[in-house]
Amino acid sequence: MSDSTTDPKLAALEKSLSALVPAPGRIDRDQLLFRAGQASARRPQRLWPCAMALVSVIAVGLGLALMIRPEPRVIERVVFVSPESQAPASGSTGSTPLPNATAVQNKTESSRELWVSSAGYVQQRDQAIRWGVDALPPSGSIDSTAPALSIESLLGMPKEKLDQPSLFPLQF
Amino acid sequence: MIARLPIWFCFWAVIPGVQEQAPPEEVVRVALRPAAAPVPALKYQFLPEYRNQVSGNAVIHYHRAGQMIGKMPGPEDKLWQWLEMPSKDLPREEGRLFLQRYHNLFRELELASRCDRCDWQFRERIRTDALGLLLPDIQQLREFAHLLRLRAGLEIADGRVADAVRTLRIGFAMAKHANQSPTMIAALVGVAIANQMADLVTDLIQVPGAPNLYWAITDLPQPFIDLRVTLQSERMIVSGLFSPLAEAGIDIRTTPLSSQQLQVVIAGMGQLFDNTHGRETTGLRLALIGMTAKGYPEAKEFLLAQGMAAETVEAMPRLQVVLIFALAEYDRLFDEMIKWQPIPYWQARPGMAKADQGLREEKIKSGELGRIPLAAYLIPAVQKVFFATTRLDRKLAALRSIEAIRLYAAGHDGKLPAALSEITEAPVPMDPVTGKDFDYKMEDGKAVLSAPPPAGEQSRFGNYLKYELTLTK
Repeated sequence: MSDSTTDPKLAALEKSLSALVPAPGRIDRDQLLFRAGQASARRPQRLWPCAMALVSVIAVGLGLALMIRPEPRVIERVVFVSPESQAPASGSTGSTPLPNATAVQNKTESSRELWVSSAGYVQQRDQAIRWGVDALPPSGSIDSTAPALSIESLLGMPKEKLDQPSLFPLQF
Repeated sequence: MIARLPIWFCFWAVIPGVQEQAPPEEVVRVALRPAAAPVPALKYQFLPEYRNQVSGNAVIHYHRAGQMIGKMPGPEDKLWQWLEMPSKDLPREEGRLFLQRYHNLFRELELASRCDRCDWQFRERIRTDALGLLLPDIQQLREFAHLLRLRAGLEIADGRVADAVRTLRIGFAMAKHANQSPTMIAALVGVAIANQMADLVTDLIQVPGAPNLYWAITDLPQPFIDLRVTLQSERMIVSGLFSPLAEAGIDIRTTPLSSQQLQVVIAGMGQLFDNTHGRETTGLRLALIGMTAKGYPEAKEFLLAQGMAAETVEAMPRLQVVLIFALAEYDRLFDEMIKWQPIPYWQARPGMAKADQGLREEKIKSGELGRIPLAAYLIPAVQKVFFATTRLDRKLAALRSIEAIRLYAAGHDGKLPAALSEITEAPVPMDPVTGKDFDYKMEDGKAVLSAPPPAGEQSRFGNYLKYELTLTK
């Protein structure tokens, strides 16, 4: 079984090799792997945390600004609309009449608007008080051709109907 | 640096808001020269004296002037820029050429100013069709005032003091004539015209050699705009709603109405509230039905408490009962508001504010309790109108004070008084808004005459006054 050789050189080499003691490696494998991993990773970035912090601060700032700033100034502008320009709109409504029930319902729903006075004088007066007389339409824009409302027209009756004494049964 | 950005950003966001809170202060800078009172003291007057008046109705002349004015220049015209300029900066030659075409119109306005009355014939119109009332002639006065303002401005720029006083006299007379129309719009037009003229007086007293106008300003009525008839005529609007019945001798407050007469009442209400302009009143009728059902018990109780016989109340349609209550509420709230008008503003203000608050509450209540909101929508913001007229009086009082300072300077070697109390040449008026003396102090050789906003109000355009006065010999 012995493989011993007769060549003295080889025997000496064998002897010297067998005398060698295994020495522990100077490279720490774990350390090496850690360093390799560390080297493979990019340097940590501060951009995103900074951006996030910035956005957070801006959001807080805007929130504060919204809370403490005064009410936005309301810019009121008076727009004079001539009756002619309104006519097509009402005409289009008239071309597709709503069923009566729907019309009544809509009327009821818009009862809030109903109690906003539409009387010309009252409107103009309140406008003048609120915004000054410069807000009134110039004298030339007053539509003197518009027919004055009569009680008869409001009642849907023929003109001069109310002049008939029979309408007032009480005797004076 | 990056870390500071958010902080700056916050400042940028907040600063505009802060700037909005504090609008720039409006200071009128006036360069004065000492001037003693003219002899005779009323050599210059801003309203025609009785001896210079003629019998006649000024309205006729205003109507003639209205025929002559033609179409006013459009909004882009230079006229509107000129009206914003101080008198001294006006382009004199161009302005004179522009005004040449209005020579005859100015003649009519002057004739109008000398008329001893100005009857606009509105009383009966308000009684019958107040809500449809058109006021084109009153509104035309504003256009006349613009032209007068330009004319007076050019005269001031030329140093033609007597001519400028004459033009201002026409303007002040026109403002008073507007006030003789018994509508609130007309009163406000009068205030606007008089304000324009008062601003020109500020320019006029700075003209070298300008006479002292203390007594001319003092001669103007105080208050300049009288609101008594104006406010009383507002009440006529409500009675105008039921004018067909009134003309037939029916008092809806006492006489039970027939169903046909009730239709007239509904139609009258339609004039006021219904946006359908009378084409149909379905919405109004539905609303009235709802309000009658809801408000009848309260209204009935009110009428019985007022001493109306139970049979009479029962005989009335329910809508009429609710309406009578609404009319009574209107009268109550309206009187609460206008009763303060004869009292000086600074004394009346708390009471008017309370009445105004009552009116606001009524607006809410009328919705909640189903009341017919006559008061809520027909009573105007009287407090604001009262302040507008008092603000004009304040401006005139401030001008009187400035002229009193010129009187003092004329007798004290061209020096400004250290305090208003030093002025003994003429009474220095008090501020009609506060009921106290104007604030007066010396700052860096200049005098500052000011009047604060009404108590409890922040400074905003028009609710305070500040004049910076410098004196040159």
